[in-house]
Amino acid sequence: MDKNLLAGITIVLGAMVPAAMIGRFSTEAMRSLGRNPESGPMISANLILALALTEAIAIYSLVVALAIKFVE
Amino acid sequence: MRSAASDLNTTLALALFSVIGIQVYGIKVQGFFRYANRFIRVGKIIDMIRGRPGNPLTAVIDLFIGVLEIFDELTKLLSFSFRLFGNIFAGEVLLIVTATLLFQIFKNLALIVYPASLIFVALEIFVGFIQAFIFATLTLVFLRIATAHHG
Repeated sequence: MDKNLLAGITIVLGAMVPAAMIGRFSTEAMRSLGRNPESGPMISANLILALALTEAIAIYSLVVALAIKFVE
Repeated sequence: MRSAASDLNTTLALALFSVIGIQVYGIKVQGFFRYANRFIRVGKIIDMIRGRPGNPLTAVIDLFIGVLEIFDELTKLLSFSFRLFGNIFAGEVLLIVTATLLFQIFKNLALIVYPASLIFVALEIFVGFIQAFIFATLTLVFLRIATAHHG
């Protein structure tokens, strides 16, 4: 298979699930913020932590796509 | 001039500091044999030899869990280094691509390219702040797990 095509498919497939999960995390965070506005800072801190961790999975697939494209 | 963390060597070195430091503190606080019991779980086997009742099946399963813990530490090393490297390197690629694109579009108004690039630089500074927070927080959490006294 063509190398460029493989790199493209890798990053596309690898970023789908983290994107959906980030949307779900944010939805639940907003819902719990609406239910309990006082715990705003605590929820936000945990949300940022969870967002960065799931973002890292998408970054892993990006690194693999870059490695496929630029390494002989 | 690239950022330091956009090279895998730098982030690998930082991750090595973190993971090896976690092991050192774990051994220092818990003692070598209690900490090694986390990876080579002979605690239940020693209990059974000393005569306390125990299920041999759980002792064997514990050995597999110990091997899994060793894999866990290596995964921590990989994930620390690749998370930081990926975020910063992808940010650098984004900066270069947007600067080139803006320059190709606004060839006559070259003065507008610089402030527009500054917005992306601000985004990258924010991403760097978040990644530093994540690195420090995760190191703290793993330190806490490694030095926790059981019971």
